Amino acid sequence: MIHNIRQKLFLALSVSAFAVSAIAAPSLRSKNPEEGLEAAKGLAKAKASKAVPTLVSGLALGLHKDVTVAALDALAVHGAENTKKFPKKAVKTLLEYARHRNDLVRVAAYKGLVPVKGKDVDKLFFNALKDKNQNVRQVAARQMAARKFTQATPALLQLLKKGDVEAGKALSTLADVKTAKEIIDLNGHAPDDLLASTLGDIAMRKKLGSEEDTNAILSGLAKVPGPETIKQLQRVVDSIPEKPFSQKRKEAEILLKQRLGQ
Amino acid sequence: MMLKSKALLSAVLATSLVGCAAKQKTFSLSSSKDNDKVALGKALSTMTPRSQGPVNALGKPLAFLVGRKKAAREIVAYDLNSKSVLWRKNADVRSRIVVSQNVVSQLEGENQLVGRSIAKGQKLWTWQMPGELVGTAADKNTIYATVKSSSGKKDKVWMLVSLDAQSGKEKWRADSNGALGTPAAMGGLVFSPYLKQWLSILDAKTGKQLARIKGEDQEISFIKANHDGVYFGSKSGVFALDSKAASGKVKKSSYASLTLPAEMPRLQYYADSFDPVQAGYSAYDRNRVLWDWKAGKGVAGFENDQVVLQSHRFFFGVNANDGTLNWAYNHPKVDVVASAHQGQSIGFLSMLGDLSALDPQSGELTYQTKIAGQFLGATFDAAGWTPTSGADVAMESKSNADVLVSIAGDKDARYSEAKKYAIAQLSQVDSPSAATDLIGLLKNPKTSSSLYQTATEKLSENKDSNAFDEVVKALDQDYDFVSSKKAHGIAALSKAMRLMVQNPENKIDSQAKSKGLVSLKYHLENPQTSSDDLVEVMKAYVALGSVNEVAAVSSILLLSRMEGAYEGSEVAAKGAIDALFDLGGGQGRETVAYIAQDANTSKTLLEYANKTLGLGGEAVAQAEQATDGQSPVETRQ
Repeated sequence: MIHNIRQKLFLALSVSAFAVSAIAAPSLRSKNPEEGLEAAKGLAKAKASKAVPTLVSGLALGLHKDVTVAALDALAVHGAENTKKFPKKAVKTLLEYARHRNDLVRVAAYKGLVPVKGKDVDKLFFNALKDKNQNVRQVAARQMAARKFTQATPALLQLLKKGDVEAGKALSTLADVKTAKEIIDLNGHAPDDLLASTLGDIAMRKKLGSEEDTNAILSGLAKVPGPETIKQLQRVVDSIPEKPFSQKRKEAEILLKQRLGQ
Repeated sequence: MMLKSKALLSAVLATSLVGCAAKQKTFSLSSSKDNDKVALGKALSTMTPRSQGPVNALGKPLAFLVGRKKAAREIVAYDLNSKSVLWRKNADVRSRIVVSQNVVSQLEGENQLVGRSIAKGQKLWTWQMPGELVGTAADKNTIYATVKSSSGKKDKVWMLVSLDAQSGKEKWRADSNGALGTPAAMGGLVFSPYLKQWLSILDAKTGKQLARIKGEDQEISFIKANHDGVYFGSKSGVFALDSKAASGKVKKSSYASLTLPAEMPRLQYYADSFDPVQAGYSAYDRNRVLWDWKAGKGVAGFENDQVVLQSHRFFFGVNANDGTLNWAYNHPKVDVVASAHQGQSIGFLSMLGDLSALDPQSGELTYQTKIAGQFLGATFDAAGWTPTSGADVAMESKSNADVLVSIAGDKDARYSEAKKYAIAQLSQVDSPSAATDLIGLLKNPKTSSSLYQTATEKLSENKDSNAFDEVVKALDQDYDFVSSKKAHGIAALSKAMRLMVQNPENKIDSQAKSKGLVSLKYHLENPQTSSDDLVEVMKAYVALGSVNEVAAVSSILLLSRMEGAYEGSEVAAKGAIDALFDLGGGQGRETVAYIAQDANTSKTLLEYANKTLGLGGEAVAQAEQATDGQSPVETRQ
């Protein structure tokens, strides 16, 4: 009697479709995490058509946290290899795990979602900038830059103020002239090294508005205290050949000399 | 041999101290005068009523304050009407000050009872006490002291001593082998509680017992001579000392009491006569029921059917019949160390010398002055005092709800009782913002956990149709590392929401529930929701929702049930089990049944789930023995 009830219960689970598939993957769900890890690694190398459903079903019923990370990594591998044929169920699983309460699991899920395109995923990464975990924010900031998601600029500026390195990198890609000026205004409110490297990265870009705008950014960079500024100005100078004449290089040279007290 | 000599010497000294004063055996266990209506009536008929004003011969409403000057102490006599200090004297005061016509008396130092002139404060006499002071009382021209001494006998001996107020000369003393409490005196009679069961009424001239009341229903732990009569009682209530008191029974006496709020269990109607700590000014003075007796003979009860409850620096005017709150007053910043009902006003003194008065009917601040120094306590001799000079500082008029919110949100952890009471009352106050006020407390991260609980309960009892919407709005909080935002009170708000929905008296429509689910879903899915918050969020989510919501919580359980899944996962998983089993219907129980049998579930949760399902250790063992990676269902298949 009990057997029947339990069987019924098992089949009636909301995740029953995944549960049935999971029967085929006992080692992924082994009580021994070592076995589970091996299974996940194996599935990363296996053919996607067989591996992905197994990973998805295993993840649906819950795995040891280390195995979970490995399983999500395996899903990420398959997603990256063939984004267009990546099953919806796999994306759904990654989305669910992106809300997981374990930081490592969450990072793995976000990484798995990197190849997935779409406004919803863009927004998901944008919201991940608010995450308490630095590694999650790092993945998210990189995606903001990769996805050219300029709406994230205000949040990235706030993170820059807090000293978030990845936010600086993302801003150096996303920033237009207006944003660059906002970054300059953070002088004294954000860590000097980070501010200098961010402005340096922006100054290195080839398309950077008018000559006047470029000079303003270089000038802003030159006002940031600390040795990183000199390094960044030098980088700009070194990146442009002496000939033909470049106003940008000339401006950078002048500012560098000033900073060096020459 | 040495001990015997010392005992003998003590006895001789004690006898010599008594001098010519009469010593008599007044108190005993058996007495023919217990609850003798005739004897009591006769005794009370001799009592001269006290004047309606102050006792002191100056006829001015006075307050005698005990101040602290570093390690030393002082007495400050203060004229309330003229707002001026009459005198200030250094005195190591260790007891309450009692006031006769021309003399104040108090224990100074270890064992000296001292009489000082009311007019100028100079020391008039010193009486060396033959033991430890239990308490003192004063009538017009006499000071009474109850002393507990060890006379060398096995048993301690209590004595009630009568002293001339002007000279300190002993008039008589009455010994007792049983405990005597702090006495009271009025109009030629002295009243002494005896063994907490009797109240002896003595002739003030001779110390002879005239009548005695035996408490049949309640103990007698205090006696109070008020401007309008004598009252006695216990923590349970107050008896007026009239002829009806001879019954010794609550029902046949002039008796008044009210159901004191459970939140403030330390409240008492008057200082306990038998507690040596309460013979002096102490923390007990900060938890009082302040009352005045109903004017007019033959009517038992509190004046205007109202009492004032004082807890530390908070005052609550309460209907004596039904406990309804009429007003609340929050004295700013510092503790109130003394308070007294003067008939037309409640006088009180703060630790830092704020001497103030409240109108007992309205709670309005009617008097306010400041005396330099730090204070330990005070005795008011100001019966009938009606402040005329008013408060110096115009007080902003605040609604009861505003005052209660300010009390409930007070940062001082010592005031938890008053805060709980304020929260309880907040839900009763007829204010459209009551729910908002309670929510404000729940969202305040500084609100203590016990107050969270009280506020949650009270909020969930709110039947206002808008209250649920307010809770939903309050749950609309974000976690954001970027802007450093954190959500607060999520568990309490979720619990309140659930209780509101579960209360059949509340009619919450489906649209409101849908909005609630949206708010809850955000917290349910947000990894930054704490595990403790998540537990209540899940319960509310399942209670408000249906199939989809049960599935969402089932999913959380599945992902958090493994050994060491994440920090706090066990708390969350147990919460999910509770939510699904209690509120998730058949579908919820199915999930619990599944994880109770699955080998991948951690041992602790296996046990918890099986216990929840009412299954024993055998089921746990069976689940543990299942083939790795397979549930028993799979194995059987």
